[in-house]
Amino acid sequence: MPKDLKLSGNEETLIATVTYDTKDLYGKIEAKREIKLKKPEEEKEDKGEKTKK
Amino acid sequence: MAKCRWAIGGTLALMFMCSAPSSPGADEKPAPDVKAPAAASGEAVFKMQEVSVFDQKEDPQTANFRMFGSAMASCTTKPATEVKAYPKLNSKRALYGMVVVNRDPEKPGPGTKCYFVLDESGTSEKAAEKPAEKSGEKAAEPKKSSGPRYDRLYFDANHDLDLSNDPAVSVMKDPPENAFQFLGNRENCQAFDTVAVQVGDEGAKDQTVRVLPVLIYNAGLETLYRGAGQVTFLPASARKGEIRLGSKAYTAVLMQPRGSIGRMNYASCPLMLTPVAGAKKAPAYPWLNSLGMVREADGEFYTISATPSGDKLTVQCYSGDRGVLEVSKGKRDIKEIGMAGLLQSKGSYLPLGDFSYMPTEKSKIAKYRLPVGDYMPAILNVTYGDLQVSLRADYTRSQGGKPASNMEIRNDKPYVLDFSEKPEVKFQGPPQDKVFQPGDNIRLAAMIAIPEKGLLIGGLDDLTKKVGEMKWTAEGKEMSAPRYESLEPTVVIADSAGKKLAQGKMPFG
Repeated sequence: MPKDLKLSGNEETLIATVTYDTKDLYGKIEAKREIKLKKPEEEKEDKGEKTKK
Repeated sequence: MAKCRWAIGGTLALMFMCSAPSSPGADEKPAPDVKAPAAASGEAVFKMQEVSVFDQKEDPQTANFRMFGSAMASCTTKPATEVKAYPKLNSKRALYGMVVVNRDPEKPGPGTKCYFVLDESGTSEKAAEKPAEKSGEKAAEPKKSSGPRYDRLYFDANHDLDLSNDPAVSVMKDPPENAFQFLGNRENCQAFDTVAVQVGDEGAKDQTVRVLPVLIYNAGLETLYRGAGQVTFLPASARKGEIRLGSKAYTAVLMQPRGSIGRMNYASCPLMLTPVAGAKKAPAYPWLNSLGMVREADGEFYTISATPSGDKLTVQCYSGDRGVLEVSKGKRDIKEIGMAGLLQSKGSYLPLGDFSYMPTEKSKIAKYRLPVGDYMPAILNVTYGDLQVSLRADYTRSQGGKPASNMEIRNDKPYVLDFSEKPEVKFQGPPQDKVFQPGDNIRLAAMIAIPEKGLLIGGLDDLTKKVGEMKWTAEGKEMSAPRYESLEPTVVIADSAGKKLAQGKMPFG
């Protein structure tokens, strides 16, 4: 995961799509997996977004 | 399982591991001087002679298997409270220890505890002062001039917890050099004479296997006394004899269990059969050389069992019902179909066809008649038209308490593999409930499952596209086989707005 990846907001969900081409066996098979991300706490603080405790 | 790692920079770094395969199955031919077995469907018992594993230098397979067996014991300066009696010791700094033998690698259990103590006779210091050449002996001890010199070993070989009735074992005067092959620095190793450990049931004193105790001086003799010492027990004996399966004669070599020492009657004990008729040696692939493997000869199936010491092998011909396992085209318009592989059933293995570890050759046998029973494919390579499909049992099911796979072979109903069931992609990572941060390593892993059959597709190759050669060394020979294009899945990672962040291929694992 690139360290400099910019998230749209404090949290973002990426989608990983895996596609198999199994030809005569089953044809194309596709599946998706969510990858949940959040910004590091220090970045939230820098932008004044850190939640008050 | 396919694995993919998203590395810094947003690229997909692919990992691929490839193990060297063994050669295909032996080309067995009947031995000309062997008569038909007395009872093709019965049982035959063969005597096996004890041999030293260190004398089997001409056989690289034996050498390879030897490295898998050993048992280690850390030493301490305190006697074990479990021991009823120790012998009268000369040293005031004796080292005590315990090693576990008879541990079945496939059935975890406590094994049998054997206690030992290392003593100093006090005589070896003088001997050590003499040059080795003059004494006419090889330097069997480390070249240390100070600290303790442990030259006596008392080993509870009959595990009666009484070491006072065990003889003193001396330092071996001429230890086999190949014993130290996997023990690191030879100078730090001191071998004792081999010990015959009782491995039979209580009272069966004739059931023994030999082990070679090697004291390893990790950090010098002074440190050793403070508890840093270790004794490694190597399997020293194997059993060798001639057996028959049907009309074929084989030289059999049976060894102590992998990763352990002791009884030779565990299913996982290496058993190598080499046809007497001078055909190829058995492949070195470990599963194909286990005592518990079901062997086929003359169209019959044979199981082999051993006594705890391996002094007798019993060959039993299967005479029960058989059922059909077949791969079918189903409704597909394909020509070539076949399968080869290795099935597992209750701790034993059954090879199918001309099984090789690598799915490189087209399998041409589409139907097998097997002993009825419940099987799981350890590996099943299916040739399906232009595809080579590598199947294995879905181990993720057993994590949920279900059997990984159950290929029920029955006499009245064929088990058909026609890929008509709906497949499903199973993700093994990343965990769905885990939240990551930019910069984290994320392991994306997926595989195709056939839930109805309890199978996973571990590999899928396009046999019309040769992409290279695989080369490896087996039994001293350079081997090669074609490598075909793997139909690896593509992976695309997109953000919440659908913008593509990374893409690449993920290998089948």
